[in-house]
Amino acid sequence: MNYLLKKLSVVGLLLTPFLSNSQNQLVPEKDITSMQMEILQKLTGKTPIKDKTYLNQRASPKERDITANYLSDYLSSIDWQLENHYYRTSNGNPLLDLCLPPVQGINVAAVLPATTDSNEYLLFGGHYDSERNCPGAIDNATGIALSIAIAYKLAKLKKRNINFIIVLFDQEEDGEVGSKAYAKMLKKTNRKIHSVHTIDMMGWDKDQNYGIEIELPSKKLKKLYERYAKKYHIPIYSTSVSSSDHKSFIDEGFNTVGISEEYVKRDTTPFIHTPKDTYETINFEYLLSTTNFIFKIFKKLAQ
Amino acid sequence: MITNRQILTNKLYETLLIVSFIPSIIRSIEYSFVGIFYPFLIIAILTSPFLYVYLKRKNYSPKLVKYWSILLIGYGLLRIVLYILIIIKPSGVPSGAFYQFTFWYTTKSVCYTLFGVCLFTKRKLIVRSIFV
Repeated sequence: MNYLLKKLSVVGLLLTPFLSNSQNQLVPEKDITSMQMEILQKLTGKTPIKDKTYLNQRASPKERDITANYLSDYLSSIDWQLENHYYRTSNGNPLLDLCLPPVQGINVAAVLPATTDSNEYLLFGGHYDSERNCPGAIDNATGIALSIAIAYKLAKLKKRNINFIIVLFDQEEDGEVGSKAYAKMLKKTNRKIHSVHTIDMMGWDKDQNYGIEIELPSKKLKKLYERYAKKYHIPIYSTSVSSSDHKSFIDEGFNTVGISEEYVKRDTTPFIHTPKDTYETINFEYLLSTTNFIFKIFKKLAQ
Repeated sequence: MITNRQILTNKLYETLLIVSFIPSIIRSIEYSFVGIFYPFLIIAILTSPFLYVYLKRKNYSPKLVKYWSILLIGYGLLRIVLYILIIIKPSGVPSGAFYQFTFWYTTKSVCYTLFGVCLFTKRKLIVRSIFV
């Protein structure tokens, strides 16, 4: 009983910064949670994504296309300017390349211009595809729901001194194909990229400590995230996990950080890449906490 | 004496031979457009004897057609074997590639093999007439 009370008080303490700020927030938190629930239900086949279409996975070209259309429409509806990136590339194996045409995909991308004159861009997002035979709720519909919620909140800010780009990557599960293609394309543009923040898996928090991991962060971003984590009492761990979209941007020389639930600390979904990675396993309180945490960092960078 | 029928038959098989190059050339150009050049290099090397024949204004030798038809049969069979392997053990195959193993893929693989067999059996009938 004592342990339970102690745990509850810790949770209360962790939520304090968010609850105390809720009065001056432009978007009520219940709206964010219901928005994330709606997105997650559609992405995981809990409710139809389009007409009578239910997605049990987001792996085949047709399913990925439906998902990309849904996400594009969503971003347009919250006042982001679509800049989708269509790519064709290798199958990742010379033998497959000799027998098959190049693979193709769509990185759903959109821009939220700064309210002042700026050529600096902050890029964030996560992958929307899933493994075959896997609803991909935590991996990575949660990363998408988090990114879109942040996009929604950023659009409500009256002043932004930096441009934002949201990119929802295709084909991460095939070896970060989408993010590699996007990073290469981005390198060729004349846009000045302030930083890149990719989110992969953000829905499991069994020990209820609201902890996150930052993967291969640059020195600057590590310092920034740790400073904010300390301020908001979020346990944060820096890891050297390289198996996600952040690696594609690091390889191209961008100031990058990958963000995830406690994957190395093993407080992570045990259902990764299985049919059990379902909507029901998502911890929405944790998702909201992390959404708020990352939003606060972006808000600060935008000022 | 060469009859009209023989000329027509020759032209048909020669057309088949030329058509058999087209899919590989299209594939190699497709990959070149996305910045991957090894399919183009492989096709260029494999078809270089035919390029030599064309530039030197020589006739196709049955050996040359035999070489190409064996390559086509091998390629068709390789595609079929790959398809069977992926059906047996799909894990580890990227989804982008996995969903390209369709009915259309199998049909094309069978066509490559049949084309190869056809060219192999008719290799002695193929005489250069087009593009001389």
